[in-house]
Amino acid sequence: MEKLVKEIIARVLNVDLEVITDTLSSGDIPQWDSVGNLAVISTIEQELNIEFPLEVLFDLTSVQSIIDEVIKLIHD
Amino acid sequence: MSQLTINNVRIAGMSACVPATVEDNRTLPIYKDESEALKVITSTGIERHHKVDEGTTASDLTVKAVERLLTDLGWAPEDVDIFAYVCTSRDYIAPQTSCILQDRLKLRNDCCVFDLPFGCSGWVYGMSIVGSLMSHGTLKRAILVAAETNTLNRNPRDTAVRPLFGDAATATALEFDPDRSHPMNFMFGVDGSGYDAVWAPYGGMRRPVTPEALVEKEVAPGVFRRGIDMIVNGMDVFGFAIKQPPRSLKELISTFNIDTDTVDLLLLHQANRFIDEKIRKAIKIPPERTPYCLEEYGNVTSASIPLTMVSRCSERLAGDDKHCIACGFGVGLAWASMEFYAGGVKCSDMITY
Repeated sequence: MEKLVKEIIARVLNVDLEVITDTLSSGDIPQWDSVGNLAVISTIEQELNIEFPLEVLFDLTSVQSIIDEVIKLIHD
Repeated sequence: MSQLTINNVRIAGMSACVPATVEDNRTLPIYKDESEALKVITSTGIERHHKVDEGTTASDLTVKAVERLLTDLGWAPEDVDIFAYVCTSRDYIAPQTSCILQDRLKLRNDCCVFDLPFGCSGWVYGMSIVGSLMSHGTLKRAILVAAETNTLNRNPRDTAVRPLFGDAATATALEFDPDRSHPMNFMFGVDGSGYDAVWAPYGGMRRPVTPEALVEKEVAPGVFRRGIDMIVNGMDVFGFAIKQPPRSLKELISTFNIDTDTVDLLLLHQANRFIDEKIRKAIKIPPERTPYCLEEYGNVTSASIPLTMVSRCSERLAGDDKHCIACGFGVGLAWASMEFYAGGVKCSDMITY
């Protein structure tokens, strides 16, 4: 799942997969601006058929936080 | 919580005017290729927007919208007791644009006329202010304008704003109706600590225009701005928009004991479809009761709720009373929610100028 999430983020932001490290956050690279962040979240929702709750959306600003929330949602 | 109830006021009619020129996000020259544009469209829902030509102002669009509305309602200009102009893209620093419009629209010299310089929450705030003035019964007919020319004060080379914002003017006709059984209910909110989430740093009295403020700089790759340009700090706005509007609507629903099963229309500020859908789901309103017009017009700030009503809901509003809740949120940071019923509303056909 971790690899899949990273692949989606890389594809949406149009960067190499190696760029998408666990510690990468919104704002660290120009492609991951506010519009890029929305694109990442909405694409992950669509492709993994999940729905991030409203209250966690603002915290989904790093690779690790997105992976953690995806795993949590899928396990729930 | 600040709340307000207004009795004896109804919406009689509405109109909207947009510029004829359309910018399609797929072909904007600010993108390297169409995939960049599609990313923005997918994440915001905004495909295109209307843009005024050089020399056209929000007041020009307003004249068209108001003249058509008065004609369609059979109101004469001298019938109007209140004229309120919600707009931040004013014609001049002084005087207030509403004064100029009083003359252009041939309104009476004793008409109650004022500007309301609100952003995205402006139509809801305007309804509360104008409705309050009318509820006493001495001022019987009003025109509330919500208009903006966002493309004139945002940098066309700023990729963070150009695809998102458009221009429009709307007019809402309100009428004193002592037999009206449904009140309008309001909740208000503001957080001025976020004033710089959406702002123009230069051009006011605190930071007057200087030669330096007119110099365009690349502040991030592909993002060019001058000091006088309107800036939108996307992450700050995102954090605000997913927090305060749903909270405000939930407070409205709780305070006024609204049964959401009876809500016919959820009218949201048209900022971003992804965010608006999150808000809709948070208060459990079905998608068919939540109209959108942002795909065609973009974010037109204070005009977005009335533009949605005119362009997407005219048939529904013409019939029996529809139970509506609305939320405007943005610049300020300010927000406001309202509950109202609207029926027998004369919506003019969309106007292009």
